[in-house]
This record gives sequence, C-alpha cells and structure tokens, in this order.
Amino acid sequence: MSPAALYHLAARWLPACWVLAAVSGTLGVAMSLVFTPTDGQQGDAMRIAFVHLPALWVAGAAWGMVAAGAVLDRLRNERAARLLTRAIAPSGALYTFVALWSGALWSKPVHGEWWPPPEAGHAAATGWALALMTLSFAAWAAGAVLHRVRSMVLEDERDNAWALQLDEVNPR
Amino acid sequence: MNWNSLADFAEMGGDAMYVWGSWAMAAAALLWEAAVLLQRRHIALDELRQHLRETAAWQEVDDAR
Repeated sequence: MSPAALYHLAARWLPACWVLAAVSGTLGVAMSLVFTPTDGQQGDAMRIAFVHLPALWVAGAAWGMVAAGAVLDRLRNERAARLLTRAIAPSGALYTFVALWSGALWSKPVHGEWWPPPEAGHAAATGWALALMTLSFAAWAAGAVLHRVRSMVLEDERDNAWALQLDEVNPR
Repeated sequence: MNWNSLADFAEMGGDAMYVWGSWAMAAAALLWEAAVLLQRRHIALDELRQHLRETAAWQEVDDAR
C-alpha cells in the first residue's frame, strides 16, 4: 500500500473511531462510576480497574502491533507498514504510562504498597463497564493512530506530486 | 444507583485521591494526545502549504526566464 492510499484510508476510518470512542466512552464512564456497585472487598478503589485494565490491554495490543509491523517492515520493506508502526508506538507508550500510574494508585489503598505484593493476586470483577472502557480506549487509540499516520504521510510526502491533489494543502 | 449524594460520590468511599487520581490522569493523557495530534497535523499542513507556495514562486521565476 502506498502512503497516499494509507492517507485516504485513514481519513475514511477516522470518524467511525471518534464516534465509537465517544459513545462507548460515555456509556462506559456512566457504568464504571455510577451504576457499578461498590466492590465488597476493595471498596470504591476497585473503580480504578476500569481505567487501569483497558489502558493495559490497549498498551499491550499496541506493542503487539508494533512488533508485527516491525516484522512486516523487515520482510516486505513496506512503507505503509513502517509508517503505521511508527504511528502506533507513541500511543503504546502513553497507555503504558496510564496503566502504570493507575496501577500504582490502585495497589496502594488495596494492598498498602504502590506495587501489589505477589501473594495479592488479582480479583477480577469484569463486566460491561470494563468492556466499554476498553472499547472506548481502543477506539480512541485507533483514531489517534490514524490521525497521526496522516500527519506522517504529509510530512514524508512533502515533495511528491500526489500531495498537490489534496484539497487541504492547495495553496490559498 | 450507587450514591446517596454528590459528596458521597466525590468521596469514593474514602479512596477519592486514588480513584480520581487515576481517572484524572487517564483523561489528561487522552486529551493531551488529542491536542498534540491536532497540532501536529496543523503544522504538517502549514509546512506543506508553505513548501508548495515556495515551489510555485520558483516556478514563476523559472517561467519568466
């Protein structure tokens, strides 16, 4: 796939990502903070799980895709794969940071330490809230990646003629 | 419904600092990402426009020769 094709493909998928992120995010926040009952063991600190786990999963998925993209880049020398991989990496780092931050803030009130002791285990109280927050984070991250990759194509393709055909960049 | 009052909700069963600290950082990270993305696209488009304007200007100089 050429960078130009990737640019237009990303434009086509972007609105769906933002809408999905907004809708599932709104429902997810309501489920997480208002309708989910207080946990019997961990109290309201359990509500940190609704940002911690989605951030963790999205970060893990992002790093998985970076690895896959790097392999694809090596094997096929595909420019679009290289751009996409570079676009995913910052999101992976950001969600990793959110996961570490919220993980520490979750562990402290529950286990008394900023990092859970090995014997603590992980009482999983999943449900719609968790699923919706994950979907929301994932859609937001996908939107961010698509948006970022479009900027990268613009930056990379500054000298190429196809850029002249984009409405957004025609000189005024 | 889980909460009796707004104060009850804000207090988060005594874990307000941890719960809101996590949620606020997550929200801040997502919004910061959006701001950086918009700014980056804006700069990329601006530079591209500038580049096209300069090349167009040079083209006119070339044509005049």
